[in-house]
Amino acid sequence: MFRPVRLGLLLTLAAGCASVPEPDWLSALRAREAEPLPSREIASQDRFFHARVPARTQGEITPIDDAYALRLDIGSETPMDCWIYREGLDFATSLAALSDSTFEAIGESFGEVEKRQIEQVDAGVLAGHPYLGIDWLYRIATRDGPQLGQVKHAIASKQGRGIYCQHNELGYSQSFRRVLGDLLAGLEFTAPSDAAPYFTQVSTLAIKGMRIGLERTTLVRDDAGDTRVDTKTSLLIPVTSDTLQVSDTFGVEFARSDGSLINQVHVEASNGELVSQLELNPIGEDGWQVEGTFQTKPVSVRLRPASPPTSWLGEALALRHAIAHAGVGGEVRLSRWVPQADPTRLVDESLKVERRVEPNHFAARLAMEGLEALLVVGADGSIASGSIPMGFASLEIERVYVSGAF
Amino acid sequence: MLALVLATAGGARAAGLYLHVLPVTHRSDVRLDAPGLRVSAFAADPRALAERFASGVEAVAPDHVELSLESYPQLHPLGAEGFRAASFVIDFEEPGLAALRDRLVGADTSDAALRRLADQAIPDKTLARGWDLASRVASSGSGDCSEHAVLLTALARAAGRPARVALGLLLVQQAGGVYAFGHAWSELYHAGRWVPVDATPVPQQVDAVAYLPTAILLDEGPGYAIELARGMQSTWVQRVEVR
Repeated sequence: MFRPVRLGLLLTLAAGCASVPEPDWLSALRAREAEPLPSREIASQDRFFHARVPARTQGEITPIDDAYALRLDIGSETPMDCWIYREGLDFATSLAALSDSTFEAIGESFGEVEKRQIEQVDAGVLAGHPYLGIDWLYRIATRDGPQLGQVKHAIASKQGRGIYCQHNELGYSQSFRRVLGDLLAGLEFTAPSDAAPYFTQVSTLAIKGMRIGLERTTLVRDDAGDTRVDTKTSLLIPVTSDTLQVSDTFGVEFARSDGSLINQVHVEASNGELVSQLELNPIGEDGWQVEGTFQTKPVSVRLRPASPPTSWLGEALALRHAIAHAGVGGEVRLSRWVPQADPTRLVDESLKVERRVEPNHFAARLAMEGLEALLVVGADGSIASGSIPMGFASLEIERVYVSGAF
Repeated sequence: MLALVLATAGGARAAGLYLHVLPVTHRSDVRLDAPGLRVSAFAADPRALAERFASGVEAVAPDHVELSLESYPQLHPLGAEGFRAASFVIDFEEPGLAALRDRLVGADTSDAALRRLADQAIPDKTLARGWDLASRVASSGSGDCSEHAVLLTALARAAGRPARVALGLLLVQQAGGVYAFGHAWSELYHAGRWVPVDATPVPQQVDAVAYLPTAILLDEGPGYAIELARGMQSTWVQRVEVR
């Protein structure tokens, strides 16, 4: 699992410190990968889930609280541990907490964790399912001297349930993701899951080439024909070599088939603390009421906007209409409730179609409150990619998965 | 979509310190604490940047603003009006700040004393916080430069002193090199001028520092994140030349 450290301050090496070269033996350990093993059928005793995994299970699948723990031999010295949860997980908050608890366990079992360092944060889709991961390097003090380790964590989601895996051994980074992807691909739940979305998209968020988070949007139609738009945004922003800013945001909008907003909810957790929980509901003919807490403070505001707020769906349908009828030069102006910007009012935004970049994609400029973003939008009005200048760099948004249509 | 930039604004500002040090060019014999210090600040929209200054601007070029740092540049608005009361961000009347407020009663409220109090109230120096309100800073006791600036500004106002939060660049001279970092600090009002007061401790091995303000947090209401994010676009200083 560990490797004796031959250089006193070796853990200064990863994450961009170019002045300390990585020794060959460490590069070799970190480059190790496992050959794929034959796939096997696994199932929880209560048949909550079953799956096919290219790994040997070690021991029983154990129910623990609201999850099932399983240990997988993936062909490395150390097994890969996974937990399959009955409910969904907040990706970023959970990863940060599980990283901390893993280091506590490592400290208790093997020796004091002298230093830990973020090797990479990663986000994307595996087998069509969103995941967020973080790899750490660490150094522990043992009676035999300092030793170096690497622990990889990833959280994914399938059918509304959370799947968390970790692997505590130098190397096997691709093997870890491959096995997680295969687990996700073959995982089936017997218990009914939430209604299947008719549209899903996953976009990664990157700064300076590092994918630091992702946004997942799903559209589900209810019995009344209205659409529920769920948007989950998870961010793990490395701010020092061993420190993360952690946030999960969950937005729910109900919209009519024409895209007009019925109501909206916004919840935000920052560094593990619930900081905002807000609702926007209509009152009377032309008013809206904002209630809840914002950045831990109570907010209660009545809004009387000149025009009603638009939903995610309404924005996309308006953009689709502008592209279809005006093409390049088409413009959309609308008002939205964007609690992260200011929960006490609606903000105006405009989207202008500037040029065609592919047969079915257009470059567009989004402007809101003096902020600008350059987007590539599909003819259906959805956003395929975007770039938002942020001073020293830009936030790059890239859709990495799309399923269905609206 | 732009909600994403608001969500990442605090973190990205901090991440800028880690992932990116602003490029600085300088003469080999330059001293940040020498009289006559001048800088060129390169920005996407130098005219918009220059318009923020009430003093210090010497020239505006197509890609940069030439500034004198001989005395601390004054940003609009010049007056103290609007920088005395509690606000959503500078919420010194909140119960969370009561203990710190009590320590101000009959105490020394000089710049140095306020700076020391804010520094001591944040024992956990960490970049993990995004942009916390003063009451949250007081209760968490953790944060980076923005939390120090927010808390010091709140303490100053609680002591009856006009104060505001400045955003910009901290120029640091160390071992012959000059570096620039995104930074936040407080400005306290003295005899018609705004003076920088920085509660964030500067490492002892630093030879000299200079402050280049580029924005004042004018919207201290619930929409403060928009202003923070806006400051990261057209008027963001991309590189600095020290002369």
